[in-house]
Amino acid sequence: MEIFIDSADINEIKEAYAMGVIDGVTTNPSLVAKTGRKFEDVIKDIIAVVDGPISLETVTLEASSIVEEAKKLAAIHKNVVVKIPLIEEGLKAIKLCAQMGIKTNCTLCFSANQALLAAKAGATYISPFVGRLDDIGQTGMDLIREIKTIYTNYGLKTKILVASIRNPIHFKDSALMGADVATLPYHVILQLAKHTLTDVGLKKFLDDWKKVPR
Amino acid sequence: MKREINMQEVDRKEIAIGIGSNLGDPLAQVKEAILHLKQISHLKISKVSSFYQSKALVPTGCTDIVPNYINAVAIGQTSLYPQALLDNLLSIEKHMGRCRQKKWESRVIDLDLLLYGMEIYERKGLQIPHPEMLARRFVLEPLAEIKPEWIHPRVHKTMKELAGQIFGSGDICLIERSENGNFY
Repeated sequence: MEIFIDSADINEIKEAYAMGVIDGVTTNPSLVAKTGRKFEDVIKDIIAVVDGPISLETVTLEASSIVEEAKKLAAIHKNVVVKIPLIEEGLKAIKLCAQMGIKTNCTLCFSANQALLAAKAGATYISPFVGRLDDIGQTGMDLIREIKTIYTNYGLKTKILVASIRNPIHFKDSALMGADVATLPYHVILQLAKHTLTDVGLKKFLDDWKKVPR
Repeated sequence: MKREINMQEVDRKEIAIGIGSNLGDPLAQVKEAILHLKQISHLKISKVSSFYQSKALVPTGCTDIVPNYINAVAIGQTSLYPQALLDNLLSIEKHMGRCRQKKWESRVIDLDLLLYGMEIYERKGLQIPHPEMLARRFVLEPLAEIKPEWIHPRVHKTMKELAGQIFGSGDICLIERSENGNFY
């Protein structure tokens, strides 16, 4: 399973990339807004650090304008994947992008039916949001299992990119279910690396090392 | 009012792809590559040239014996952007076992995006028209065979004229004739 970092903070991205575990980046307008920097500057920095798919989101709502945005974003760099919301106009835009070879990430997916439509339209990635489903009392990971089954049934090539991952259990379940990609906030990447027994064991080794005569 | 979106909004461009091979069974590999090209989504191959044999290009002073190449050119229409089409070509090369390393090395398969309509495209890793096509008889002659009237966007001459003018790029000979621009 590939791991993307869900962030627009260049320092977080650099740190995670240095660990050798990051294959790509996902951003959204909220994450870019949090940096307080110009969109172009943020993107330029990310592209300079990460050589892998970088999802950049469109912010218009009509197919024609989404496609225009997509063309501009795709022209920035070959690694750019254009994020398009799962609405009717978004599906039309995804179809046109697929015809031009512009890679797309269909975002804000909350049902298996939506995911099937996105794949039919030709999306490169589908982003189901698991944490936000948990928030409203539905089990987000059930959606991943359903999408995986449907895509496998029909040999659909769209990659499942699990988004809105809030904790290490979401991550592990994504891998067990065979999701293609999980996109994680930086703090979840750090959580994944941590284990209490690792810390306890390391402390014991280092304490014992001090007792070795030199 | 919402603007209507239809197929016509996605431009289709006529493209030319150069195909070459000089390792293993070059003729079979060139034919296999054409089959792969026909599988690319949003690309329709319309014509394939005859198959030609050419001597390998080697750097000056190189005395190694390098196997001859089999070359052909395919043309078609695509709605894919140049970079997306190139990515597909590189995937086919990878699938067929080529690792791109040195410029002059022998190769199982070589796919070059030669022309993309009348567009001039300059980016890191992709230049269209292919910068070396004017000096290559094994590109110009097959292209002139299937699309003699295509005008090179930089030098503004037809493929037929360019193929007729080329000097000193080594001889090529026809190995297998294409029937009506299609090999089967």
